[in-house]
Amino acid sequence: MAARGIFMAKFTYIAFIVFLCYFLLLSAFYLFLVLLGFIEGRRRRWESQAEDYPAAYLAGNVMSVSLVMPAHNEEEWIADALNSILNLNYPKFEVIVVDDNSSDRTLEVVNGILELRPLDLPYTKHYKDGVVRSVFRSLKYPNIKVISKEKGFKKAGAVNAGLNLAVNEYVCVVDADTVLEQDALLKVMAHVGRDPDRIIGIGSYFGLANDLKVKNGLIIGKTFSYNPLIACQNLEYIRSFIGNRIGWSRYNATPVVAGGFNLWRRDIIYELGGFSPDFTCEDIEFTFRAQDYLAKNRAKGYRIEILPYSVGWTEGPANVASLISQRSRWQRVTDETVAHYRYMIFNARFGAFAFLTLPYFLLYEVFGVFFEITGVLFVGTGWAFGVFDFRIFALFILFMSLTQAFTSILSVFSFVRIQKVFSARYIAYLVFLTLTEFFWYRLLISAAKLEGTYTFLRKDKDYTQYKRKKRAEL
Amino acid sequence: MYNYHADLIWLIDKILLYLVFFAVISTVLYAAAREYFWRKRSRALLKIKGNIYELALSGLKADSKVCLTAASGVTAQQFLDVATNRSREIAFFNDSEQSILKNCFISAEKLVLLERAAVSSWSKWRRAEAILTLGYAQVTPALKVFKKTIYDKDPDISYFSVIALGQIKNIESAGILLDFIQKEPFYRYRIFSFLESFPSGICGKAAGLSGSSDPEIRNLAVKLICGFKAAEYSGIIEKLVSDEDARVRASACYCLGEFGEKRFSGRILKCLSDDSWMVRVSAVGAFFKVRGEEGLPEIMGRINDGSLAVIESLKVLITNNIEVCLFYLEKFLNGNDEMARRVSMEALEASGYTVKLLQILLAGGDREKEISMNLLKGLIASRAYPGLRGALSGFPEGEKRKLLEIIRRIDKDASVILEEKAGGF
Repeated sequence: MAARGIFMAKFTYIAFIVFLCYFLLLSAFYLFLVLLGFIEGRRRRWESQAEDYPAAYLAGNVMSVSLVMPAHNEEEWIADALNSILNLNYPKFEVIVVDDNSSDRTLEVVNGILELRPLDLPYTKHYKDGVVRSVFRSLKYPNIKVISKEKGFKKAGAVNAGLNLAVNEYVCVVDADTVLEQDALLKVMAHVGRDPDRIIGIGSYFGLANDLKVKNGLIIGKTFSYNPLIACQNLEYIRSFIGNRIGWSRYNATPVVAGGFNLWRRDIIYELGGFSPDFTCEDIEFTFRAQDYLAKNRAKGYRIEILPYSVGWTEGPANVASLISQRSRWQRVTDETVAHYRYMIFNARFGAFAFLTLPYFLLYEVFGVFFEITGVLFVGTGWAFGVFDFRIFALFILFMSLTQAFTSILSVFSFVRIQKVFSARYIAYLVFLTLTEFFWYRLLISAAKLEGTYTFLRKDKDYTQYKRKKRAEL
Repeated sequence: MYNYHADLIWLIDKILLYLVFFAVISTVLYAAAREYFWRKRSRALLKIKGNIYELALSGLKADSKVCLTAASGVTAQQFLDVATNRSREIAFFNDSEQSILKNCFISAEKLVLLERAAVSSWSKWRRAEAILTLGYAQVTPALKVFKKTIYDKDPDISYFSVIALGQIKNIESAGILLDFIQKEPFYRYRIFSFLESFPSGICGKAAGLSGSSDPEIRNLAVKLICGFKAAEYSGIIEKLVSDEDARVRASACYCLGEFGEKRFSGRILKCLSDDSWMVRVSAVGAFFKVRGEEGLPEIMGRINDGSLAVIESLKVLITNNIEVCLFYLEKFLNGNDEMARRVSMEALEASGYTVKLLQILLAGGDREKEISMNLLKGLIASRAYPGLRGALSGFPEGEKRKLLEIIRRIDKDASVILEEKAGGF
């Protein structure tokens, strides 16, 4: 009995130290990223303020972009998204809208805006896209084509269908519920123009469009939702882009260029064989594949960059079930991708991506949920069964919540320094949420991550669209 | 009951609590301060705008020779706000408003201070601000500063110097930029986009780059000369048509087309059968530019090209010049070459000629009708139903009936298919 007691004491002690070290390590990692983001964000802010955008716009050698917009049952959102594209301040672009077997009025809405006519278009299928029913051209806008396709190959198939028709030097994939800022493409392409030989992929910050006032694709009022569930997502987007991704970008170790707005050089997409329908979502896997390509072509000095400028606003889940459905899918695709590209981890060929990004991904994105849940359960049950003092339980929980709050606030601070998007009042609200989110929002995300991991283990690859709240009419 | 390192964790928590408290206060105050300063900045910019209006209303001509009295009090940040319109959501400044401020902003004292800051300020961002201010103020004496800062080891300072130099549009600044791209591979693309808006006198310097060992530089030099349509350098461009690099040859061929002189026909004709598809793509458009309709037989010969890109460029050419290409389309559509038929269908559709073709069948002259009828037969034989369906959908019911009757006479099955589906998009 005594030996068993000593063993248990040792075990609980070691377990306790492991959890503590995990959270300390993660916090240090995150703090490092936030500081990197802070430095990089400041640099980008200066670049953006100094850039001669009129010269970039008027240049004869301005680079052409094909915007591909996959849409599945987007009748509520696509009009604003499409109109925002029509309002873009960019001289040379084409648009390819892909209706991915919508069962609602998506295609009718698009037709209402564009006045479509069938088009006989010979083209080569370079990428897996499934069965294309028809191709249309717009009578009103000669630079717009619309594809109607049957179900198959998920969102990747729809994007690939657009890619098959794209002819420009760069391809920008935009979600059909994302309202773009008028200068979105100009800002991003001006940055690409600094070094088009090396920048092969680029993304930029976007937030949530819920409660945004949009009319005919123009953002006429930047009002943001005070619904805590949505505001917490805004906070998460800030944490993710400003406190995380632009930090990775500094070391050319970007793990994901988010699907809502991602721009790639078309020749590179061609070399990589387009987006893969074999994963639940396409964006993270494609970025990993691009990182692999970067490593294979190290001498060419290719880069994948993330910018902090707000390029658009996307519709986020407005209720708990939708949020869990979305995050569960994100978790699943993260697990699928990391499992598929596991050979990159600590492989010197992949540089910072292998030694910084992937370990962080493993620690936080893949196994983080287990550490968090088992850590809380361990200390909680320890306290409930009288193994630990209540003080330990309380201090441990306080430690977890404070580390998260601290790094979140630093991300918000960094965000405020880079650009003026939210009002001071909204920033104060976000800061308040950082202090509370651990006790409710974090639990929801953990539940979603658990579900995502479970579906990953079950090899489930369904892409379920979450429900969104209809945007108010203006 | 265990109480592992409770004191240590409490110590960490206490530190974190202080940090969080400090971060909360700082962030909220900072956000509020930014909002306050944003308003202040807005007021200042609107005041500058107001001063310019007052100047105009006072009866003085608001041109670049007249100085704003308040210009000396404008800060570098406000100057950049005006010069770059980066705060255009507050106030937009047009060219003449900007030039009033640009001319008056730099005094001798300020110039010394800014030049010093640009070279030796301890803060990178102060240096950047000084460099940009000097650039946007178009201070020519500052070129000697940019000559140094463009080679700064910090890539940002170097890039800001490029932007600054891009504002001073003279031969000397072009020289610094062109020297830079020969020594450093960075920012070439941006530099050339700046140089496009420089005076055409820089072509001489650009021509000097045509002998560079770097093909990308030779390519950009050709593009620059081409942009200015500087025909006096056509000799250099003609030589580059035989360059070892395909991109350079392609740009040179394109450029000869832009010059638009028939004497280049022979050179461009060689490009049409170049080994590289890139060169052939350029040559398709260029040959048409110098020979016009006369050159179509040689151009249409590329319909069987091995490269889809060349065929695509041919399709674009046909689409943009559909009327003069009808003879060939008739031939292609009624021939056996599948690719030629597809290209013809697509060109007819993209140019909107399918609708015109149907209109001619209803109310055109005899010769026109004959060509249109042949085209229609070809379209039907090629099973171009979606395009015809779309074109038919725009006609009123009576005319649609007449057209379907014409189609029925050509191919009964086609009229049935089109009738079924002629409802719209």
